Amino acid sequence: MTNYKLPKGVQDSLVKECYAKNKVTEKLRKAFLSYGYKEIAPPTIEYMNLFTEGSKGISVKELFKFTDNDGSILALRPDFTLPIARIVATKLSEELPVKLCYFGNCFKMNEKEYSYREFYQAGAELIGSDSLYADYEIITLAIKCLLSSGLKDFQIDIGNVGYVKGILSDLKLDTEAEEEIISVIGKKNMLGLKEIAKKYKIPAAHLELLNELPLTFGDREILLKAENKALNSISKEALERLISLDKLLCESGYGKYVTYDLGLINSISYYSGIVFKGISVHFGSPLLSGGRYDNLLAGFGKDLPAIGFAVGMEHLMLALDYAGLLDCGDEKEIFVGYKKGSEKKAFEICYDYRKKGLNVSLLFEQNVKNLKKLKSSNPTGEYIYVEQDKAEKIL
Amino acid sequence: MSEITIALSKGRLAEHAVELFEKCGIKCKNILQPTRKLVLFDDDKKYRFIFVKPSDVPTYVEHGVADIGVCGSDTLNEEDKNIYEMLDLKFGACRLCLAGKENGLNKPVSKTLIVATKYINTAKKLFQEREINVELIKLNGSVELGPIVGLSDIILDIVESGKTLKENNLHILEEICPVSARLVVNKVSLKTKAEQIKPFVKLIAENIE
Repeated sequence: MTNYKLPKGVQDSLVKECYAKNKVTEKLRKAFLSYGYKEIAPPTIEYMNLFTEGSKGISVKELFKFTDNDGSILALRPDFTLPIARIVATKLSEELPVKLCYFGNCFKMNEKEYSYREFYQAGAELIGSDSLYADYEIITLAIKCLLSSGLKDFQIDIGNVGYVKGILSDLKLDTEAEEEIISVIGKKNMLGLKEIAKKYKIPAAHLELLNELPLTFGDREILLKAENKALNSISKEALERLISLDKLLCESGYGKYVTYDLGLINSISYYSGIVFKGISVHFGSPLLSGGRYDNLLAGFGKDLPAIGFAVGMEHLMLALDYAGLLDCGDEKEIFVGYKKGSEKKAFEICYDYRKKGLNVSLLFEQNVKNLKKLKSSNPTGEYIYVEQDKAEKIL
Repeated sequence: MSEITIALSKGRLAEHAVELFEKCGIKCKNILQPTRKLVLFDDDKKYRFIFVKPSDVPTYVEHGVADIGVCGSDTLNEEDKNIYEMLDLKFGACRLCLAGKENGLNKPVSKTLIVATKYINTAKKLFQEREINVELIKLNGSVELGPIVGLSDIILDIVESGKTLKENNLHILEEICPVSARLVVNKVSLKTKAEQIKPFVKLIAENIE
């Protein structure tokens, strides 16, 4: 029995989609290269525990798993950050900082109806520097990536997990309680915050800040306002980091691309500093996301700070498409068809065109009627009919 | 200024929502008038309203085709979408309960409890937490029929006044949690349309009863 349907969450990328994706990928590649990021390619298959050991934020449920011959459990990579952390910690940590970029498919067993289970990511990782200027470089690189893709209306929304961690550190709650609070902050759930405040008896000053968090987003003013109210050094440091970063961005003309959200936090353990998402009015989900994760590589044996981001290619392409900015290929196409017996002349014509650097597609044996039909459904293409020694352009 | 799209479901939630929006100065009474149209506008043409099935509100908002939505917290828990659940609007208040005949929960441990419900995901989580093995039957409406005709032992459903249960000789066996209408916002829209949505959320928050 032949089943022509595709499994859930995967798609064929046909001519136009492939062309558009390759064009955008090349632009991103150029952007990464301009900052000195070198491409590496980890394997698609890794041991599952690379992704599940410790608090890496990926649940076993999400992984495409299978067993090797010896019974060990393998997984298709759900992201690049962990494989790259593994590589840098074990093979590349001699010369710092390490700047790497990557392109390739990732796999997640998403349960949602309309999400991809196989998706393409392009990203960059900067390992070995905890400097503010490393944060600045990554943010400007993210902006450059979106600009070079052709996207016009977008913003990078930036937060710093240190702000919330600072507030929580005063409360001295256990991990479960902290995760509950963070989950509610992540959803900007004001009712949830009230209920949690009662449950854990959060003191008034901290409660005030937490209650304001769902609306503590927008332009740079929110950072200055929050600085005045910061309750401890961890939160203050996080705010100062953002304010300094903002200063650098504004001074170099990038200020108009960024906004801030102090409530941007998803899990307690993965990110350690600034976090950010690239978003656009043209699409309902982020186009790129990243942040600083200084605690990850230590788990691989090398305690190194790290920061990076990944671009969700499908999302970026959809955003460009909705904005009418997707380049699907409008290069002029040349087609050559011949009457039986005139093959040699047709080959010569193709050779001459190709020597001039043009792309030609030989359609083999044709008649004028058929070429006219093709021309009418593809009016921008050039169709040539070769008969004996003559090459006639079809109009 | 970009257009703000709000997803609502027809019925009492929409009536309360419109009342609240009117209080905030959004002239949108017209959208409650009987019409087959699924897309309507407020008088100032600043807001676009779309009418969808209650359980679909989170879907439209997660996608971003609606920037904002009004739906019950029962729907939110069931659908679990990646959206901001910002405000408790306080109207549409009811309770999520286990209900059934008086002895509905007294089934011998050797037999599996059969639960009929619209909220399959919610029920799964609930009984998993309690480590009770149940058989779940998905029903889309008139869930109270379940125990009456013998389709299930009990139901997990929202209860308002309790009249429907009473008139059918059913009882609330356990109150699980309160339910009310919530304001949800698409995570990207909140930031890209912050100029309009942030003041909108603040205004709504100030005018909730």
